[in-house]
Amino acid sequence: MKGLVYRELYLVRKPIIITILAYFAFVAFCSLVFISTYAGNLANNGEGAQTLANFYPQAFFFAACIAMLGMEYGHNDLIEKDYKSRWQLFSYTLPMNEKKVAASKFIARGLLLVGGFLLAILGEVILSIAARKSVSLSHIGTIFLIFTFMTLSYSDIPLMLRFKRQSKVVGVCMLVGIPLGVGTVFAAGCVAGYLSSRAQELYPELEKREAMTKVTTHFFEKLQHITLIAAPFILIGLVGISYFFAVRELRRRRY
Amino acid sequence: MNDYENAIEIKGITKRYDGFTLDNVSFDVPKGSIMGFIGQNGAGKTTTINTLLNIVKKDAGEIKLLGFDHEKDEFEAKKYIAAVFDELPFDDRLNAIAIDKILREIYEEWSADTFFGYLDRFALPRKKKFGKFSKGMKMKLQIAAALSHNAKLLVMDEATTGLDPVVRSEILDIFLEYLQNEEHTILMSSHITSDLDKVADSVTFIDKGKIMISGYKDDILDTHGVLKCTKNEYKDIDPEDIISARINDFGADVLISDRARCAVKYSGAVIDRASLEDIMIYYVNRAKKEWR
Repeated sequence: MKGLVYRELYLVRKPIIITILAYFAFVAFCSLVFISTYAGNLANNGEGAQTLANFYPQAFFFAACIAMLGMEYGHNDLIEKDYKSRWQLFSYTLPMNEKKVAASKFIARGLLLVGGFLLAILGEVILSIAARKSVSLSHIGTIFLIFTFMTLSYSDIPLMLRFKRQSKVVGVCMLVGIPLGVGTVFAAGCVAGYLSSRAQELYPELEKREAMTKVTTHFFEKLQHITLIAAPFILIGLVGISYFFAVRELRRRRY
Repeated sequence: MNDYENAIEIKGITKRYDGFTLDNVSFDVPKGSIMGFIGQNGAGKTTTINTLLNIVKKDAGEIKLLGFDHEKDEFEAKKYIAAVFDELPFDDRLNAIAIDKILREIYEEWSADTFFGYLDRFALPRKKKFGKFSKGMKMKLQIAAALSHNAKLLVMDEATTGLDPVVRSEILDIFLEYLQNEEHTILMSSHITSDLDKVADSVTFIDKGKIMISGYKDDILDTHGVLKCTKNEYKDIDPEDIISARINDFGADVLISDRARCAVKYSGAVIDRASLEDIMIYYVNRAKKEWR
């Protein structure tokens, strides 16, 4: 199986290199901005602290997204290319069963995601040093949430094996995702409306925005807390279900 | 490894698709020989090969590969089997060095020395991406990979199709060399009968999912013949002796399956030896009996 994992990683090395370069360019740019808020041009105009306050809480998030999405991106269309090159057919002639073939794809995807996660953590460390702040546990929690969310991409493996083409998978995901998305937006609107009225009730003395922030901060902290507890279960569950369907699909292909 | 006489034993395999049935196919490939598997496009060659490699699930029948059951002991058998397809199944972005690293982890008996030895012999570059290889280079690479893990059985599906005669000849030489080891066996599907004329020990003809003939090539070539006659003489030929007949303006060329007997029965008639191509074409047209 090591050979199959090596093959998967070898074939995505270019997107990985591009991701790492883009990621470090972004982190370097942000770090320079942060440094300049106390040791450069921005320190002199009096807005350095404000710039840092605005920019710092967002930078780690974008860096994490670049790292994790980028690492995973190149691996997405590999199965489509395997069908085109007939590797998928050839893999049935190898002395290994479907479980190992599927596992190699999951291990490769996992290594890429963990690589992205570690890059994101590194980004947080670099950015916090550049901003002269301590590493934020809340930021690391958010990075972990993104990582958990990214495990959704495991479901891409059985879908790609089933539909062979990324365009078809996107079509299927949209078919399911659009009603779900519309539902989520609608639900979010309802929740926002509820929170807004609750904010006015609880903090009538505050401005609407401030009151809302006060209410939602608590709400989001709770959500983050719940998600952090649920994350390992979601992660293992998603990977397990995706793996089961990937193996089943590989077996079904022996038509 | 277990003991076996036939590298491949196929008994009564059946596979039904909508519009096509592989119907009760049976044949053996003796150890240490090369069998040509002949048939026109769509005859069932690839389905048979995919079935024996367990890429396709059979509906009925029994298959043994190197003495192993092809389903129960699939992965044990596949350690010693190499499959070569008509197209290179490796990604265009890979190169020979990467393939060595991949396959050495997959096959226990992979030999990098043998692999790179073949690459040098075929003058194939190690670092060049496969996307930049010609069709001939890709086929040579596939064969180099197939022969580098001590495979006892080489299964090839239309591997020489689309290659120029020089490359084909080079590849056929490699096969003959591979067969110097008595443990090695080749099943080679092709519709290029001239290749099989050169190298095959035995031949199996398949048409519309059914086996027409299977046996030693020399026996098949010895027994079959093309009887040349006029239209009047053709009328006197026993229909039971005729597999099919190509009718032209001057007479008929008739494929017969018992040359010696027909030579006596139709004394005076000219009976030429039939080539594998003749046999394939006449058998394919047997349902029509007469064709132009």
